[in-house]
Amino acid sequence: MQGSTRKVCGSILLSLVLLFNLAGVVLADGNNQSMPGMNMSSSDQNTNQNSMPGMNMPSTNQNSMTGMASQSSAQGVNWYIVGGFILFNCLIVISAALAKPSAKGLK
Amino acid sequence: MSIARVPDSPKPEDQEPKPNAKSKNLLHNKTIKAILQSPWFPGIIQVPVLLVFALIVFELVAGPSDAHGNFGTAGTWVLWWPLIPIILIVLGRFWCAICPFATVSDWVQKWVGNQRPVPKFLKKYGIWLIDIFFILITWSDHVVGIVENPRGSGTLLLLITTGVIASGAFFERRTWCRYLCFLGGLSGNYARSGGLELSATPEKCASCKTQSCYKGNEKAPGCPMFEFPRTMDSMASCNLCANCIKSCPNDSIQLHTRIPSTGLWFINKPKFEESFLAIIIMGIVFVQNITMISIWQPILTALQNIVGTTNYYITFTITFIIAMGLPVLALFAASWGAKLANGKKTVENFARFGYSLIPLDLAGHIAHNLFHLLAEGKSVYFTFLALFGQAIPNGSTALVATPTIQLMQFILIALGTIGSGYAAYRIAKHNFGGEGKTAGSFVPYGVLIVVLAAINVYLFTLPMSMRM
Repeated sequence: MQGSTRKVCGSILLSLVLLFNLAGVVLADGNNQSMPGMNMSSSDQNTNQNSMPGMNMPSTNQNSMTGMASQSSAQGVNWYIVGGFILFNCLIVISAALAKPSAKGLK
Repeated sequence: MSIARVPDSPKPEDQEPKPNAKSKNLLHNKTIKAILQSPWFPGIIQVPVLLVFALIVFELVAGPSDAHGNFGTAGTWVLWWPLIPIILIVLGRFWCAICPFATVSDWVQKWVGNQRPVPKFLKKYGIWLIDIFFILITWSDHVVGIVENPRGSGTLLLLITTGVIASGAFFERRTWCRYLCFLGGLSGNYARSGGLELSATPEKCASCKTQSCYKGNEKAPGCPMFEFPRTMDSMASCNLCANCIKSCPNDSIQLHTRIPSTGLWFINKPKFEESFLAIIIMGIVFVQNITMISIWQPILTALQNIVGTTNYYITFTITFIIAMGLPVLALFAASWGAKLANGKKTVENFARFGYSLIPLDLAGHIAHNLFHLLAEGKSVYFTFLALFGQAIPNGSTALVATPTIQLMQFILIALGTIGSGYAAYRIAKHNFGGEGKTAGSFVPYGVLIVVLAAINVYLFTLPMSMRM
């Protein structure tokens, strides 16, 4: 692979990785059904905390505190993220493998 | 592995004398030397760590979506994250030698690595990128949800893995670990004050023609962290992988124990960005504390009234900027105060004395996470049982009582304050002692350290919420 081709290939891959990162954040954001500090009523928190036997808060807990990060709403596996991760990392490895033979000449 | 240019030998003026007599060379101990020179080290630890990491990532991505029942969340944020700063102070950056991300990078590199040299941009601005990543990740944790959200934690680990794979595939050695990893930046800063010091024997290195420690030979690859033991003046980048111990034909490498924080006293070339990271970490610990204690709700309400919105993104971001900005401004103010005494530029003082805050950073970091480790420690065991279908037992997750944890936190902050105060004094004495300006240079930082310690103590007196 020529130097210019490698640069183009590398640029495309980096762009894809950045896009993937951005998509990951957006998808993770969209996946959150309850955000820390956002509309989390104390009754919700009590329900969540009491629903886990063995995970009781000690006397210092903040049952009355809103604004605390407490995310226990049901979420499924985000296959977009997992699939994207596998896909892009495969692309990175394949691209690196294609570029490898000529890389010896770089030194 | 490509043969990069060996770093220049230090100039005579850079070779400042280390005033303290070193402890016994640990490599004189046959067992320790045999372990470090073994071809199985550190690989024999890397593999099980990678397997545990894979299990944790799987749990975070596909396990229970509720943090309370997820082994990945408990393993990462209740066990691993609190242990990291303790490991750093005892063993320096050894975690980086066995880090699963680094193992992935090494494997990808062996398989398809292009071994390109590190871009100049990364060499120049890598530490700033680390600063930015650290700030962004902390901010994201609060507004998007990472620690308390298994999927968020999983996504973060997958994103880091992507960066690590890309780095290992295209660039030489551990480019990611040295120039991009935010945990590496944190580890590097803490490891400066760690209890282990690796160094070379100048007399032996002076006649060395092979420079195998940097270039590598048939016994081991060159230093993965781009360090040249002969010129290394801090433990910020050494991960104790022992490659140089294996490859050195002159038996030049030494490994000593030292009193934590002594490594901060004689930094030859202080860097503004590294001191900036030290003070930023202080701000991050403040943010983590403030948002988990009982005063957070009144602060949030007051901010909502002032700003006129209940949007958490806005109110938290304002809090975040203030919590990050105030320590930085305070360090600038102290540096300006020191300037009046020693005549150096404020920025120079900032860079030189910022390192003295690292022991207090470490103490605050450990103290904060000690709560999670000791008050929620059993959740690791409970969620591990849940992996095998066992019901999570009833009962508290605490390993020790809250007052005991608080006492330990106060002791830690006291130790950190002493360490930081003494480091600031030694930096002042080392740089300005000859001019009789030690006291004037030290006092502003002494005051700053006491104020930061007092804030820490106050925050630890308040009840804190759990991660799980």
